[in-house]
This record gives sequence, structure tokens and C-alpha cells, in this order.
Amino acid sequence: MILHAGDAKVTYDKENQDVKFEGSMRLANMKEYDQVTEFLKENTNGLAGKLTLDFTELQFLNSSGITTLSLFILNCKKKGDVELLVKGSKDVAWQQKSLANFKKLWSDIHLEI
Amino acid sequence: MNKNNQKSDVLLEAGRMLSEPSRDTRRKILIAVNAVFIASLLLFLIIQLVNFGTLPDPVRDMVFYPILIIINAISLFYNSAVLSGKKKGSRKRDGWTAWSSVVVTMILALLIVHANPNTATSMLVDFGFSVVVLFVAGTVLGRKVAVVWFLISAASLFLAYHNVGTAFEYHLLTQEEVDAFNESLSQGDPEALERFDLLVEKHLQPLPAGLYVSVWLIFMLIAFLAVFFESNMISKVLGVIPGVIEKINIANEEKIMLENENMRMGMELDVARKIQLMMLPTAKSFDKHKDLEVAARMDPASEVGGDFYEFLPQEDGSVIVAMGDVTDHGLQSGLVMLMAQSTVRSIVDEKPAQLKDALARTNKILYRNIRNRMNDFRNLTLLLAHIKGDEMTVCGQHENILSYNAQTGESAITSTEDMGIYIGLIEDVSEHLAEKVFSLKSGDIYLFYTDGLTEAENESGEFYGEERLFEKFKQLVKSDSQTIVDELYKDVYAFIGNSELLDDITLMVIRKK
Repeated sequence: MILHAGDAKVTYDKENQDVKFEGSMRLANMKEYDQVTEFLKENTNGLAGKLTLDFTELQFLNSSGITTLSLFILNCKKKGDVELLVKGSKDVAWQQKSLANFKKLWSDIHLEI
Repeated sequence: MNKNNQKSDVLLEAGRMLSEPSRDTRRKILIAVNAVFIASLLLFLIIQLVNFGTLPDPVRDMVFYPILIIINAISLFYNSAVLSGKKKGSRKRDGWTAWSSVVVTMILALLIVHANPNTATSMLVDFGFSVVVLFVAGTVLGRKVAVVWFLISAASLFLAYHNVGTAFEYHLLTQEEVDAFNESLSQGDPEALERFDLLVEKHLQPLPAGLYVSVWLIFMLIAFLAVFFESNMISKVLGVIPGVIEKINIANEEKIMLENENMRMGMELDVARKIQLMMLPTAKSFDKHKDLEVAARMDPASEVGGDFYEFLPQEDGSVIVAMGDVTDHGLQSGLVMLMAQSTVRSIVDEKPAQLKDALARTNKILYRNIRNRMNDFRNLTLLLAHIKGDEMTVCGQHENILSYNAQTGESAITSTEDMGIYIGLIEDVSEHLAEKVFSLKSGDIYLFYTDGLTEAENESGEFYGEERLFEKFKQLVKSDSQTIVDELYKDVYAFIGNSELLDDITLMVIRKK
């Protein structure tokens, strides 16, 4: 399953339960991020076991996008069905702070930077 | 119901009114064709049985015609049930019944032209059925099918012409001549019998006039029913046009109302922006502080921004400084910003030295207001600083802090990553908060900014970035605070060129005198 959101691409690999984010995601407002929320919800609903969020190829994400992903993580935490692995890159500016924040939101997240 | 929905409903209704007359026309034509077909074929078989006591052509009468009757019967029952509302139609079934009925009708039309006992009559009578099928195919299956059938039936006509022979002529006999021939046949006249055998061999058997009449009646009935339903649809369409025009006029009036509403909302947003800017501290309030030289500015991306800054001199001579950046921008973000500003002010005025506690309480209040009252998920990065004497205590996660140490002449970038988390996203952030103390001596400068500055994008999609900001900052450290702010804005606007400002940009420069 693939979602094109602005200049970014989100791919869900069902077999490996892996969501890969690529490009640069700077959608205009929170409302426009509904498509990302829906995409994540549709593909991960009822999922159990390990789920990977791979941001290594996502060069930029604005604050509305960070809020969207934070809410997704909080929702996963609330449901407690999945074990989250968040992959990031040290070379991408937005990830240094934001991925650490994801870990603050849910300490059980496995962070791989 | 809002104006948009109303307008859309009126247009939907107008569309429905226009499509209503043609809604079941094709189905009605198909039902009529199916019914006439079944009745005609059954009648034909009955006549054969009555006249001959048996069915003369087993392949045709016992295989092909029963298949035709079954296909038409299925279509007739299905479409009648859908038309009467007893059954819910599906596109797949609609298509199957229409195509199967029309295609078998086409096959029959070809067969009766080329496989009839008397092929010479094909061009006189039987080809008329191909013409009726042309009309039925066009109305039930569409123009493309009609074009294909036109070409097939034209080829069929010329083939029939070729088979009969281009030199063939129709010769009419008087009734007296026919009676005389029949009389000779019944008396066993060898010459008459020989001629009859020749006629059968050449596929020119005599046919009664009644047969021609009944065949044409069937053709007329099919064509009449198709025309009846089609013309009925046209008259209904003409009938609803005044109603549709009225609906379109209503939609147009609503469009004008919507434009007026948009203008009013634009004015409201403009007022909200003015209220928001009024809440920000002015240069006059910065000047009141004897030890600090402060300059700040906020440029919102849309009419109402989500950024804010605060400068609150305390009774003990200390100052509380705040800078926040609410997710998104627009009216709701502006509202969160106003709530954050007033919450911070009321809390820090009470206990200015306890930043962690102030931030934790601000978070809780905002979380409850945003989630429970606004039913929204906006949050903010918020930094609080308490400046007292030669020290500045900072708490909260925000953008990196740029600083200049006048004694060493060095500039630095300090991360706020470990000092907090987003405010308003979770109910309790206490465990994530930390304070950090910075030295603030004469000539030292601190620059706070929101991410709109570093994430300002030029026409090539390139960001202004922290590196560029830091270089420019280092060039400006000898300037006064207002100049630093002005020059940084000038630099970032020169960088983005004609690109649209995508996020609010806020800057605050504090220099110890």
C-alpha cells in the first residue's frame, strides 16, 4: 500500500509490518494530515506484534506532521497491541529531537538511530 | 446544515430532477422487447404445432427458440422486479440482461434473413427486423453498439441481395392465377408439381399474405414500444427544466451569500489577528527594563499565527520571558496561543522562580482546554526563561538557543531537547521537564526563535536553516538587539524571495546592557 502525501511517500509493507516514510512532508495544516492518519489507521488496525516506523529517508516533517505521528504513537500505546520500532537517521535535523520525543511519549518504543 | 451543504443539496436535487425521466427508460424498453419476443416466439411455436401437429425444424424450434425464450424470460423477470422495486438492481446484472437479450435478437435477425425457407422474401419483410433491432440496440446498449449493428446488418442485406441474385425480379400474380396454380397442385398436375419442386429448390416457396401482416405487426409493436418510452422520457425532461432552472437560481443566490459570508469571516480573522498582535508585548514594555536591551517581532504566515512571545518584568526586578509555537496556524492556533499566553502569565506572576512547576501547570490547563473544550489536538513548543541578575534559567523544549558570550567573544548553539516535551499533547509532562542555567553578563546576547525562521523555504525548496542563521547571527553580535532582529528578518525574506511564507516567524533578542 502506498500513499503519496505532498512531496512524500508512505509505503506499508504488510509482510514485514513496516511503514516507510520517504521524501519531505510539509502538508499545509492538520486537516491535510488526515490522509496520513487514515492510511496508518487502515493498515495497522487490528495489528499485533512488531510494527516498524521507518523515517530514515524522511528528510523533513513539519510540526503538524509530528503531531499526527505523536497521536498515532499515543494511540498505539493506549491500545497496547503492537511493539513499536522507530528507525531514524542522525543526519536528518528534525529527527534528532522529534524521535527522542516519541520515546518520551511512550518509553516502550525501540528507537534505532 | 451549513451553506455549502445547502448549495450542494440544491444542485444534487437539480441533477436528480434532470436524470429522473431517463432513469428507467432503457429498462422499460428492454422489458417491452423481452415481452414481445417471448409472446411472438411462443405464438409461432403454437401455430406450427396447430398447423403441422409437430415442430418442423427441430434445431430451430426445439433448441434455438427455447434458448431465446429463456434468455428473454430471465431478463423480463429481473428487470420487471427491479422496476417495481421488489429487487435491487446491480450494474453487472443490468449489463448481462441487456447484452444477452439484444445479442440473441441480433442473431435471430441475421438468421431470419438468411435461413428462412423463402429467402427471396428476406429483403421484402425479414430485413425489417434488423432495422427494428438497430433502434433497440441503440436505445438499450448505446450508440457504439448501434454503429456496429448498422455495419453488420448492412453487410447482411448485401449478402442477401447477392444470394438472391442481382438479376432476380419479383413477379406478382393475380389471385386468379394463384387459385389456378393451387387447383392444379391439388389435382396432381405433373407440370404444377414440377414447378412447385423447382420453387422449393430455389427457396421461393409461396407464402400467405397473413404471414407478412403478422410479421410486420410484431416489428411495429417492438418499434412502437421503444419509441413510446423514449419520447415519454424527452417530454418529461422538457417538463422538469423550469424546476431545474429554479434550483440553479437558488444555488446561485446561495453562492452570493457564501461569498458575503467569506468576506465577513475574512474580516473576523483580521480582527482576531489584531487582537493577537495587541496581546504581544510592545517595545515600550521592553524599554522599561533597565538592564536588558530587548527586541522582538512576530510575522504570521496566515491572518492569525500560532507563535507568541512574552516579556513579563517581575516586582523583584527579574523578568520572565516566554516563546511558544503552536502547531499549524489560523484561527484555532491563534486561540491556543492566546490561551497559552494568558495561562503562562497568570501562573508565573504567582511564582516566577519555579519554571518547571509553571510549565507543568500550563501544560495541564492547556491539555484540558484543547482536548476537552476545543476537541482539538493542537499542541505547542514552549520555552520559559527567568532572568535574574547575571543568570538566566531556562525550561521547556523549543528551538535551539543561539548565544554570544561578550567576554570570550564566542557564539554558541544550545539544544533545548532535554528540557521538555510538547505542551498540551499529554496530560502530565512533569517527568520530562528540566531547567538549565545560563550566564548572562554585560554584552551577552541570547536569541530565541521559532522554527518558521529556520524552515523558511526558498523557490528551490531549500531551507534557511540553522547554519545560515548562526553565521548571520555571528556577524550581527556587535549590533543592538533591534538591528539584529531587523537584519535577520531582512536576510530571511531575501532568502525566500517570492516564495510564500509557510509558517509564522518569531524572533526575540535579549542583550544584557
